Amino acid sequence: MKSSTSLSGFFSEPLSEEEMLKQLLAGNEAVFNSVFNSYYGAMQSVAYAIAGPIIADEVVQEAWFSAITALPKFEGRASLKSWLIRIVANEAKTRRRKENRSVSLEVMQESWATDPRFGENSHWINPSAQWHSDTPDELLSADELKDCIEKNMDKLPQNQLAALRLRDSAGLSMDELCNILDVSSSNVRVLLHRARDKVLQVVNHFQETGEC
Amino acid sequence: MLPSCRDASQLASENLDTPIKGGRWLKMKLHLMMCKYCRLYQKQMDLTQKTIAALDNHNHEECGDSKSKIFEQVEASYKRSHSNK
Repeated sequence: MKSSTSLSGFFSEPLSEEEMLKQLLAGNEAVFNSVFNSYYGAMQSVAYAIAGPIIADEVVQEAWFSAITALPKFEGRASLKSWLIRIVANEAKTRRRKENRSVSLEVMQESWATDPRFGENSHWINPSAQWHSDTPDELLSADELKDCIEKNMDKLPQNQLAALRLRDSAGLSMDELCNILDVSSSNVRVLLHRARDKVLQVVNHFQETGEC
Repeated sequence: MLPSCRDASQLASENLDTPIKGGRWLKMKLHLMMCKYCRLYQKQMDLTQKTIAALDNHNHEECGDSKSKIFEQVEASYKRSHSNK
């Protein structure tokens, strides 16, 4: 596979989105190579976030097949990246339903109000402990903690896990999360907070006890 | 009225995505000045977010060779779609 930098050497200036689309429709393989390299990472992250690690590669591949077929109909109303992300998100949701992992991406109700860390006045009665590590690398250097985080992330409600991975791993914008998950911005904020807070509690427990 | 610790914990996460501004920011700052537990929580929330990103990026790197395989299949499909015209 050629690297994406080969394209910048081929053309004197970066292609505009419109020109890129023309080249793609004309069958320019160098441009296709560049587009693939540019957007593969984001698409893989979306597939991973929604469909999970086992079928993420298949989802990405199928999404590219769909995109190639649909390319002549692409009207350019959204950016090429947004269009590809939407295709892979839809493919991932479809595959997830087929895999019969039936937890919905809709917001799930949880008993958030009964968090035992807070008292009746909503102030801390059981706050976090001081942690021994200050960086992600330090935290993840302990294999037991790394495994523990992964195990507990897999237990998160699917909607929370998808939001977490789309935002914190894939780096998508809040607007993109709303579109992909079909929820409001306030619901996205709730999903992200609950997911991150759960991971924080896992780390905190490990730091306090040395156990998962 | 200043936010409670529970509210402040939610604002700590929200602030990572959309920086809090104006009156909400001021109330949050005042609360943090007075509450060492929320200051600690805010710091840990920031570290947690970075750790999640680092963890998933590490896992993606482990699956790196699948990109080449997918590209081969997808490129072949792209070529076919144009050779048929």
